[in-house]
Amino acid sequence: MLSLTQTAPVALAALIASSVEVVEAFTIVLAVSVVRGVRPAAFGTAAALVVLSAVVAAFGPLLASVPVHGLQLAVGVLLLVFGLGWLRKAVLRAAGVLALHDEDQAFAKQTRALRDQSDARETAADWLAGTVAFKAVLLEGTEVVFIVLAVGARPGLLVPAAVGAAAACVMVLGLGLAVRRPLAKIPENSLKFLVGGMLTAFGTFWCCEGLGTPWPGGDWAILGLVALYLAAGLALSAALRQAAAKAA
Amino acid sequence: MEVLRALAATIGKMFATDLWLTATALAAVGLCAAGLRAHLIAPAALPFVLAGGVLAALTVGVIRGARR
Repeated sequence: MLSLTQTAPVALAALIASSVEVVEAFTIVLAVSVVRGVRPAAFGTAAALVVLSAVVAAFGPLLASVPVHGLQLAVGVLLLVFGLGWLRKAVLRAAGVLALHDEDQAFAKQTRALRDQSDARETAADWLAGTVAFKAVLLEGTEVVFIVLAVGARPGLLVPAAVGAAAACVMVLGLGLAVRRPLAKIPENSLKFLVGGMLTAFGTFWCCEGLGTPWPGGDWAILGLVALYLAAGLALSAALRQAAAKAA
Repeated sequence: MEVLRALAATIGKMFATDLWLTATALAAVGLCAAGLRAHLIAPAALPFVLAGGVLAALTVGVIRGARR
């Protein structure tokens, strides 16, 4: 039986990481529904969710047949690389080196592109709009599926991870339906910073477990690793900002 | 076809946005595994050595990203 200290960090990591991806997919689906109506947006979204569910149904049971240590090492390495990528980008964005992701701008760009396509025949335009929604949900959903499979890659943790991701979908959809606008006020880079730290921590933790070395403090070590990587990220972004101010 | 291409690009972007970052992270894990197997790293020290390697990979990735 797994304890709350084992399931809660996994569910929380899946929830926060998934919410970032779901917000990005929601912006595009919203643009499709504003320009072409709810039908192509819902059709594209549903089709993508069917494909993603099939992927989880195919790979979920397959993971159970892989030896635990081998799986933890493989998933740990992938999580480490994935998490470090997010953390690096979030540090560079926080330091002003990279531009922040702007949901309002993404919405305007997608809306413009869809309006340009609307000159085509009605059915063709609906088909194109449905494909845009399908693509957005499939691509962002691929990352959500990876996060769920990766943070849940220990016996009994797949369900809490899936529950966390599902909660993110419900939360973002609920918020989106309430405001009917792109969710631009969500501090996306802060979330990415946090998620980058969490995924890198999970990756480091599982690499060691996969190599057969337990962590001092057990699962609590994950919290220490998150704090370490976030502190390092904050220090790096502060150092970059300071260097830029000195150069100016 | 275009969707498949975009999917492949997304998966590529997930793990190799910065090849140097990916390579240094893989090197950190690989060196730790090799050091453990060769008894150069004590099992009790491995978590700390790996966390240090990950921090080094992050620092290199951020510095390289800032220079671009």
